[in-house]
Formats: sequence, structure tokens, C-alpha cells
Amino acid sequence: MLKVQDLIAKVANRHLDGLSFKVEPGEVLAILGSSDSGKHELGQVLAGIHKTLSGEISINRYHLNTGSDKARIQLGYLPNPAPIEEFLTGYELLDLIGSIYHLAPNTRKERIQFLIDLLEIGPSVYSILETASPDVCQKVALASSVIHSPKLVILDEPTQMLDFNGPRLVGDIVKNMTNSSSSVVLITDNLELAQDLADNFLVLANGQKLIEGTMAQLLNQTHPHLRSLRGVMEKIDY
Amino acid sequence: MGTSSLNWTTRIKLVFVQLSLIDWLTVLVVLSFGWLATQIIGVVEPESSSLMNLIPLFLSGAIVIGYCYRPSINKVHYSFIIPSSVRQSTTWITGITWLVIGLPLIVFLSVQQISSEGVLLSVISTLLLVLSATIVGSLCNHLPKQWGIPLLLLTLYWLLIINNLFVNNLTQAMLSNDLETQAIVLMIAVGLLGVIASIAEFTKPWQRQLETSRYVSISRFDSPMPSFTGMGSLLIVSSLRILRDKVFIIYFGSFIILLLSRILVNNWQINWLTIVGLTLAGLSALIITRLVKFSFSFLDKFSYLPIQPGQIEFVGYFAGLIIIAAISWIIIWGLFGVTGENMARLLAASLSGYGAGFLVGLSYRKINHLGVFDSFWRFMVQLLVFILVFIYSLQLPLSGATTSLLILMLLAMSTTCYQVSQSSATIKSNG
Repeated sequence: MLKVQDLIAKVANRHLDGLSFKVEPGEVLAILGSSDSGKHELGQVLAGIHKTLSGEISINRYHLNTGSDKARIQLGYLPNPAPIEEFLTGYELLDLIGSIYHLAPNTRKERIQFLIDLLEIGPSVYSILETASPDVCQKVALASSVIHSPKLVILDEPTQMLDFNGPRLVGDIVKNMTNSSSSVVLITDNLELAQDLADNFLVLANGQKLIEGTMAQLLNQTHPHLRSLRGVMEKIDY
Repeated sequence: MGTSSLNWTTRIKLVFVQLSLIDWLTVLVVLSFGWLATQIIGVVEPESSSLMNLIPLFLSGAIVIGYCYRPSINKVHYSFIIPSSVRQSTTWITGITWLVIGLPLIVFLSVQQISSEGVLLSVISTLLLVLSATIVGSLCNHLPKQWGIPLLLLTLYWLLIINNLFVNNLTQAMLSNDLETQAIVLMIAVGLLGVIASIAEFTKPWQRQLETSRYVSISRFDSPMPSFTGMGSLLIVSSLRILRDKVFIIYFGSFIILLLSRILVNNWQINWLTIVGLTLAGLSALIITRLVKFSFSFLDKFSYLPIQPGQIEFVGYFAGLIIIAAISWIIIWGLFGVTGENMARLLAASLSGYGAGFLVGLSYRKINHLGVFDSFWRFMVQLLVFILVFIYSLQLPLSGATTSLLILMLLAMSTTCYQVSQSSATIKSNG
């Protein structure tokens, strides 16, 4: 579904250097690392916001650089921080983004209602986002990233601004996506969430791949007696 | 049968229980409106037939039914107890009754009233009204949409029944102090609000028909097409962005105060051309600055969406111009008649405001967070536009000065349009 080959990019002052990885259909990849590891920048490059210097990114067989629109329409992206249009209601924003993704009106309406229920947004979706709580804004942004049932969704810190229910709601969204064979790239500092949801892990440091694999492979590469992802991350030599 | 009858009785009772105070008030207003309509018809058309007098009653009934069974926008706000199938059927029956009986009746009566000389002009003025109202209507919030069906029926009535009198009455009401005629004009104004909201609601399925047939399911994403629907939605939300702006409310309020002052104060020396020109210029500047800001900010925030800068620019620059042009035409037609000089003056006023507003709008890109400085200078430039338009476009005779201003503004607008298009394209291509 997502294939990244020898990716080199420069975003602001951060370099991404020679990254290669794959995410298969229905798979969840967690990208981890410290705040200056370049994981957020990698998300932006994968979403097509910044161009690559060299290398190749293909989403569902479409190359991001050459067939940008075709690739972008396969993609859902939740940036960090989540963007909103403060003069619109949550419903209007979802409707707008759904229409940009070519969703037919009926499909759009059904999909919005489904996401409102799934994310437990409630009547707040009809209030202007300027006055809505950060929790509602984040949920609306999260819903907008998956409104078109993309083949690949990149979630950058999805639990940010959410309350204690956040990890559960994000988990529901991720499971919903993977059940329909969509792939998920989860960029997060929430290691418990990553451990619960991800099939594979990619740990970055200074824009380079440090370690990659399943949970079992990560444990083998660090310390076989460790049980948790947090333990692995603490053992890694940055 | 007994169960069915019981169910119906229960359902009707439940509907009445569900109706809130605002619902009952609506019914009261609608009935009063119907009665008032009958009275005004008697004044405007003393020889009107009894059939014509029945129309308001027919409309009132249709309005009440239409309101009670209006299509729900969302389940949270409009959850009637009646099963959706029954509600839909009733809505359909009301709609079909209206289309088959009410509309032809009204059209027939209207055609009878239209003089042979004014047919074309009346049709054009109605089309322009509907066009502008539809555009503005698509900008509305949910609140006016709730009142869409009753107001649509009322306004259709007003537009069609007194179509041939519209221009005359509007002009007379504005230029004289005849309370009776002014009342009619105010009624039309109220009706227009309905058209604004309701035509947008009614035409939505039709507007989306093409899209529905082309993008039936999500699986069609494999071969994406240009998102014309996205552009339509962008136009709607960018217009919402304007309407929900405090500055817009201030401008709108000022215009209403000017308008009411001119109607109510005897022998006020300020002429209508000045008021309207001033308002149009301000509105132009306001709309374009907000649209430019919105299109830039949207492009920045949502650059990962599959939408091109050209589509956003279309919304920002040209759609705004179309809205202004539609509004201008209505005002020119209604107030002054189509004279070359007046048209040129108001066009100059609108374009001056538009061009200068566009220039101001560009500042959003470079000066994003300079607080007072940004707001202050933005305000000052808009004020300057007001004054310039006031002096050059309206007070002075149509001379070299006005023409020069118009040319300058057109030049500025086209140049900046080109520059912004280029810079947006460059920014986009550079990622």
C-alpha cells in the first residue's frame, strides 16, 4: 500500500536520510522517536506537503511526486497540530473535505454521521469550531482525515487534545480502517497506544532509520527480557 | 384497520406534543402573513378575483404542512416521532400538490398581470433576483434554513404575484414617503430572505445530480476527476466565512441604518446613489479581502488535499466578483433604472472597492500576526477606499477623473490577480 524507497528530503532544518520501508494493506506502522527525530517531518513528506530531494514514495501504486493528485486522493492525513477552519461548524468542514475528495452527497452524509457516532462527537459538531473545545476540534480533524475511507491514513499524534477516551476512540478508528484493508501510519509519542495498535514499528533518530520490525523483532534486537515498547525505547542507544 | 387508525391518531397527537413554542409561533406568523397578503392584494389590485384571494390561504396551508414535515437536516435537531417514510411521503405530497396546482395557478395569474411591453424586463428582473438570492442563499447558516420551506412559498408568491409591480413599487417606496408602498417593499424584502435560504435548499439535489451520477461510490476514487463539487463547497464555506465575520455585520448594519434613515427621515438630502455606491464599494472591499484571506489560509492549512491552487483562487477572486455583480444589478435595476451613467458610476464604485480590497487582501499573506498594525492599516485602507469612491465615483460628474480611477483600479486588479496566481503556483510547485 505504501512503499518508500531511499527517501531523502529536507524539511525546514531537518534532513530525512535514505529511508526505506513498506506498509502492507491492513497493516499499522508506528513511527517512533524523540521530538527531533524527524518523524513529524516524515509524515508531512508522506502526505505530499513537502517534496522529496530523491527517492520514491508510492501510495497504492501511484507515485506521490509524478501522479500527485491520484496519490493524494488515496491518502488521509491528520497533521499535528490539526488544522481547522474556525468560521465553519464541524459538520460543514467535514462536508467540505468530503466534497473535495469527490464523495457523493449521500455517501458523504452517511459517512459523516458514521464518524460522528464512532468518535462520539455529538451535537458539538454543529457548533462553530472557533468556539468548540479542543477535544471537538481534534475529533473533527480526525474524522476529516478518514472521511473518504482512504487506502492509507497517516495520523500524526492523533490522541493530542483528546481526553482519557482518546486512545480508545483512535483505536476504534484504526481498527475500522484496517478491517477494510486500509493501511495506517501512526506517528506518536504515546508508546502504549502504539504497542496496542501497531503491527510494525519504525524508530527514527536524526532523520535516519534506527531500528525496524515487529514487536518481537524489536525485543530481540534490544533486550529479549523486555516486555513493553517503553522498555525497548529506553534501551535504544540514540 | 383499527390498529392503523389508532396509530395514526397517536402519531398526530405525538406530533402536536412535539411542536415547540417556536413551531406554534411559526404557524401564527404564517397565518398572519397569509391574512396580511390578502389585505395587501386588495390594496394593490382592488379588482382581484376571489380565486386570487384564495392563494394566500392555500399558501398558508401548504406552508404549515411544509414546515411541520420539512426534511430533517440532522437527527439531533429535528427528530419527529413520525416514521421517516410517512414524513417523506407527506413532504412529497405537499410538494407535488404545490407544483401541480399552486405554481401554475400563480404563474397564470401573474402572466395576466404582466403588460406586453414589460414581459422581457420582468422576466429578466425575476431571474436576476432568483440568481442573486440563490447565490446569497447558499451562504446561509442552518438557522434560516430551518425556515426554508415556509419562506420559499411566501416569497415565490410575492415574486410572482406582484412581479410586474415590483420595480415600480420598489422605486416609489424608496423615493417617496408613502407608507403603504413602503410596506409592500418591506414585505418583498422579507420574502427575499426566504428565497435566500430556501432556493438554496431546494436546488441542492439538482445541483448535486451530476456529481451523484459520476461519483456514485467511493470505489470510483481509482480514477479521480477534477473536483467541481469541491469548488462549489469552497465557495459556500468562503462565503460563510464572510457572513460570520463581525466586520460584515457592522457593514450590513450601517447599510440598514442608512437605508432606514433615508426612508424614515423626510427631506434628507443624501441621495440614494451615494448610499448604494458607498455600500457597494465597502461590500466589495470587504468581500474580496475576506475571500483572499480565506483562500490563502485554506491553501496553507490543507495543502495535502487534492485540490489545486487555481480552484481556490477561482473561489477567492472571481466568485466574489460574480456575487457583487449580481447584487449591483439588482440594486441598479430596482432603484435607478438602467441608465448608462448610473451603471458606470456604480460599476466604478464596485470595481474600485474590489480592486483596492484585493490589494489590501494581499497583505494577509505577508503580515499575518502584527496585531494592531495589521488591523489598523487594513481598516484605514478600506476607509480610504470608501472616501475615494464617495468623491470620485458618485459626487463628481462622470468625467476624466472617474474614468481614470476605473482604469487604474481595473489595471491594479488584473495585475495583482496575475501576481498572486503566479506566486501561489510557485509556492505550490516548490512545496
